[in-house]
Amino acid sequence: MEKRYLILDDGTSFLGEGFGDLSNTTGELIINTDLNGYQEAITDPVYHNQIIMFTQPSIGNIGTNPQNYESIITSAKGIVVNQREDINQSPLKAQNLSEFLRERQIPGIWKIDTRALRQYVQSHHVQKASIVNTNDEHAFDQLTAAVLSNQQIQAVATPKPYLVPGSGMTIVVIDLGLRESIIRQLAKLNCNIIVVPWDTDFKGIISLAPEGVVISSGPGAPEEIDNTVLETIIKLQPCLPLFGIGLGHELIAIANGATVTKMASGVHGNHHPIRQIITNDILYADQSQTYQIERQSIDNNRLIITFVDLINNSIQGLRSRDYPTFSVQFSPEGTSGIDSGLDLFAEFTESILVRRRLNNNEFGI
Amino acid sequence: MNSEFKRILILGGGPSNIGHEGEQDAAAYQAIAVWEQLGIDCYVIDDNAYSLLLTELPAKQRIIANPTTESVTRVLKEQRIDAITPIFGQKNALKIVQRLARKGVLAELNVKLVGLHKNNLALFGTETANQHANTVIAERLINNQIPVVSSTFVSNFSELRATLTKLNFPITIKAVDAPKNLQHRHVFQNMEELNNNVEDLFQQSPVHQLTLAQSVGDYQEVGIVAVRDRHGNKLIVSSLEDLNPIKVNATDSVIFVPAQTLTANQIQQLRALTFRLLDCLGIEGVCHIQFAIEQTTKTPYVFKVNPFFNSATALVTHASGYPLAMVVANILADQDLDVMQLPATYHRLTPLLQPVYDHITVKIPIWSFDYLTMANPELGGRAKATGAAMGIGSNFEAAFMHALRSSQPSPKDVLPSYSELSEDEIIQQLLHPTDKQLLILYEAINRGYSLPDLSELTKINPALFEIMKNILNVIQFVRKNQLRPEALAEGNRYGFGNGMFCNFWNTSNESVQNLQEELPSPKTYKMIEPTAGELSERLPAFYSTYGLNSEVSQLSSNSALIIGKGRNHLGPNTASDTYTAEMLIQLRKLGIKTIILNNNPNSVSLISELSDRQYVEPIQLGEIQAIIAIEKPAYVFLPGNRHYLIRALQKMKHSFKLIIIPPDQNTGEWQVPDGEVDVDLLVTKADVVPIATVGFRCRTDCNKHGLEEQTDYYVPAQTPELAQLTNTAVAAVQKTKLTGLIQVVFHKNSANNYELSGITPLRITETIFLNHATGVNWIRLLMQMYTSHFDISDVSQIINSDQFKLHPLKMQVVFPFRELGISKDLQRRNFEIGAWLAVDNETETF
Amino acid sequence: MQDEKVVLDSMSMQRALTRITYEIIEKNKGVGNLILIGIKTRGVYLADRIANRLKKLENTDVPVIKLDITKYRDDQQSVGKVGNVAENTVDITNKNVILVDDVLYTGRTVRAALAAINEIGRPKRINLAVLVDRGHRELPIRADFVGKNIPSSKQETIKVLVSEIDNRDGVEIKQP
Repeated sequence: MEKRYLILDDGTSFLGEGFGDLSNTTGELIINTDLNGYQEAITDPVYHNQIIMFTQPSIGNIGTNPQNYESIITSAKGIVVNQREDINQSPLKAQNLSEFLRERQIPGIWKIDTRALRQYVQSHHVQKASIVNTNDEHAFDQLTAAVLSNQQIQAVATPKPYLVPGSGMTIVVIDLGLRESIIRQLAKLNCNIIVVPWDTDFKGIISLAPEGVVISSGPGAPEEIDNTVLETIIKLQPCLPLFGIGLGHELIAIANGATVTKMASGVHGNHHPIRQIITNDILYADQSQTYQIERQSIDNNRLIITFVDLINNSIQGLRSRDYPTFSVQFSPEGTSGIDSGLDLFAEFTESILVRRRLNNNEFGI
Repeated sequence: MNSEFKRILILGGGPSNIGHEGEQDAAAYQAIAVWEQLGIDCYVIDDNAYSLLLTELPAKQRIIANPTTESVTRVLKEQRIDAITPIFGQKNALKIVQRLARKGVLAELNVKLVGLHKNNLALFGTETANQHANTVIAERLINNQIPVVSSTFVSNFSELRATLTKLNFPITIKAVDAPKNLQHRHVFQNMEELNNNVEDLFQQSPVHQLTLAQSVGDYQEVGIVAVRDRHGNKLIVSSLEDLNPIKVNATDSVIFVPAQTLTANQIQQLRALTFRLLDCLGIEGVCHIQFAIEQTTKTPYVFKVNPFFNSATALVTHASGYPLAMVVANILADQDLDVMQLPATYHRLTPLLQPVYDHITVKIPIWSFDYLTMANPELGGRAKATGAAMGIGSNFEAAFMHALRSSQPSPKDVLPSYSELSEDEIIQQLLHPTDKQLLILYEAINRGYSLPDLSELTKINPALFEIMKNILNVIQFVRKNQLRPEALAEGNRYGFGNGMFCNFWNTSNESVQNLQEELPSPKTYKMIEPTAGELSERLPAFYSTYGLNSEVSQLSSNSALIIGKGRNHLGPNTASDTYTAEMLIQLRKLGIKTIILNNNPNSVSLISELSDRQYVEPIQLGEIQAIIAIEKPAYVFLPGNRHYLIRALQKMKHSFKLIIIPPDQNTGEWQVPDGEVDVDLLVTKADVVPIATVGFRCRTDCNKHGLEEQTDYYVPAQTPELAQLTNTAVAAVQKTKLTGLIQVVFHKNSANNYELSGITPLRITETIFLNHATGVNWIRLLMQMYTSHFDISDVSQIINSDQFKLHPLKMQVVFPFRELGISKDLQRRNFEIGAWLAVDNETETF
Repeated sequence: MQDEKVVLDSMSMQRALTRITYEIIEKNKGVGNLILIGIKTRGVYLADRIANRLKKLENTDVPVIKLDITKYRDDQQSVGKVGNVAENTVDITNKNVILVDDVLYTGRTVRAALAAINEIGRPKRINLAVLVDRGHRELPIRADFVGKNIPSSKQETIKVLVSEIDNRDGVEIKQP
């Protein structure tokens, strides 16, 4: 039994036991409320540089399985759980959770009263946390001094373009740290997918002759991202249908004059009701949100609000008034997905088909 | 926004029995509270003697009668009812509304069907035309790309061969319209077995038809409870995972909430299927869907759709804190999920927030084979459990242990051991699980059976064995570290009880209690709420864990702690649960804050509306002491059969008043254990007030006089010597020190004269009967007595008022003999599982 | 029994109407000067749904005119009924009109509708929105907003179902 501490940047510490990797780690502390799917969260690039605390009490019941990866590179800096289970359910070359974390050098801490921790974090606006062996002054100094990398996208996004061939329309995906499930969804619609590095410029994208562009989700603060992406979005908007997800959504908002701020407490789960304004329908989708678009900053002459989170009133979807550009904060592709039959990828490809018809000046079909 | 109806009739579920305790009554009670707020008058028709509704609703809104097409039609007309709902009344209620709809009664009387859409009513088969309804619903689901376990009709061998090519063994075959005794499904493992029997099966069917289906007995069972409003807004309230595969009835299976061994992908698949199903069946309100999941491909099939309240909906309500019945009642009164108003203890958006938990709930069924030794304890397709206990914990192991401890009969909180069983017996039990299944599994793991082998034998997910193994490892660790704080802390974390430590260490409760008090992290209580700490809910239900902070503090200096009955086995258990609920209601009326400790998910007394605080914990000494330490209640109420607890609490130095709920078996005096008639009296230290005389009858044989065999009750008693008996009773009671509701029993001696048999506190079942017969709530007066709020002149006033009269009434005990497949000549009071009431027209004319 | 095939389910139909609504906003730069004209019977329900969506998004009531074109059809004999072509009296002069119908086929219905509109006023511009375009045009007419293009033979029947009168939403093809 390895005694370890979870220490917070306001000077509090929680005693627990270490598992997985036993090194010291520092990251932004976020709270994940999914009832299933710990492995998906740990491998989600959105959680790059973050320490994930799970509210789900027993983690590890189904072991780990390569099928459940959201990306090959694991991103999380650490995990905090109440009870860890070392169960290996799949017979084939699967690992239990501790083995999985050890191999990927991710520290875990358990026997933490996660409910008490969550209540504390919510009322004290904790940002950073470390998992360490001793909770002495030195450890707190280091935590306070730690500057979390603003190079998160560079760390998780592809450095080189690659092709996922398909027989249908060509779609460029700007990779800001995408989840594999985005590719899976586009592939399901037979798209010919070209994934390009985050800093690919307008010309570079147009030269690939896509019929639409997806701007992916990814980790980190949108305001810290190099202006290249914003310029690309501004130039692409009048030319091609754009679909932004997560970080991509935040960047589309900024490109259209809105501002983005950090939330007091983020939302990481799939339990919040989200209203689709146009139909008044309510749906549930995976959310992993730390930043939100300022409502007052939205220019109603340029953007329409299309989705809203009913719990915290945050903007979950936008659409341009002038261009075929739309974006959502939540994950329309996540493993827990959307249940209401809303299919934004289909909406995206359908809007491309419409353009194709209009541009070719076709009659009928 | 107003609802479309003003007067709704609720069809009750009848007396409790196997697979049916107080859960529908509980849900209806909660729904009625919502409807009354919305200005809707609620009527109930039921013959369940222990229904809380039949006690709590105003007299003109409760109809004591067996719900049938005729009786319901009569009530609809007489009371000018404009809506009817079957969702609190099991299959019988569904059957009745189906008939009423088919006959055109609902249309003719302009009665709105609530809880199911009239166009979809026929989908849910309960009639003998069962086969047909199943096919209709299967077709509808298949058309909507929802996989179902569907069956195919075949009329000859060529059709049979064609169908067989599409199925994999094992398969099930049933002869269509076969005589009742041959109506079950036959499972065939291979072609040879089938060839040898199929000819006979064709012969058994008068129409020479068979239905064939894939056997899903070995598939994993997972349930989903969901709600949907009329605008199509919908959410998943919870998933439930059964320990046993489909072949064991869900009533008889251990259940985990939420599901613990499904991947995010699987859960997502079930969610998508559930939502599609709710839409395509047009469900408005609640729905519990049972899925069969094929183990290799993980393909889910829908195998049962339950669009009503049942034990699964009750379990997820307690497990999540999501106010399911309240939400559904609002939906049915046309209040949508995003606009409905809940009490202020809930966040405005709670109805819409898909519940997320930071705790786990485990339900363990309770069987009564120790009482009914002649019943076959093997678990299978037919439900046999008489009750259930649940445990909630902040980890899987603790939840499991809380449930296991709550399910066991040991008064001292010790788990039984099966170490003496032979290997053969163990293997037999693994292959053919019985009520001892869980403890046998522990024993097998303890003996070192490989987990994959166990899984193969039992078709149970190996992850669950790992959990059990963790618990066994902790047991080892605790045993090895006698009286060590770290061993105690580790045991605490995994939900062990003080009694278990006493047993492991062979020490006294005091020494364990002392060691507990020295631990750095003491027992803490966490709120059972559906947002995992996100929204600021102020809900009244709690479970214990060992964490950093506790979310409870003393509720009030004027509080009463009521120790619930817990698990229901045979005996007057639903009665005592209703009695407990009534105590809570009456104590609250006296201005006393009420706290209940209970763990039966199907109980009425545990619903949040009835008490000011609920603890879901094992009902054991350590837990009770811990709650008393926090709450410092003014009163503690204990069931009369918990002798060990009674003694232990009496020994404790305490500042509360300890009240033993009747029957307190240490009091009472008996000359002869016979009886035919009794006099019920209210007795204080100074006064004796006779209330009524009740007659007893033995249903099977009029010559039996043993009190145990008197399972029918009726008022007024049919003897000419009532006045004389009453005088004898008053005199007899005055010689004893008994107070409260007292029963003086008489029997006829050989000279055919009435003779005194005994004096005893009135039993719970008979107290409830007395309430119904007199229209007076005697539990209220008892509570007044216990808490020094009593005034004898109130009683005299009631008794002497012109309105006071005995309503001719009959109560008959219900036994689970048919359900358990045993002979009926065991009709004795202690085999009771419920009782029904009837207005006794015979006696009226007497 | 005729073979009926669902080519657009309820969800896809909702999505198509949602997309058309967004396209209308994009193309018209707002909804201030907009009027929807639905061709009876199902075109009216579709126009109502688009109007509902516009109301939700922009909080503006866009008028819906119900258009009866029976007497303008060149492929049917006029029954000589006299009545108003439009039930609602909204001035369409100088407005941007979106003409809404369920299925675009030969183009003759649309031609008749244009003639009928001519009778009630002179709009600034007319656009055409249809849920289904099945081809086989006999007139030089094209839709500006299309829910779905469905290739079909002339022998097939395409039926748009709306829950208001058909109890469910969807588009079905019937084989002859």
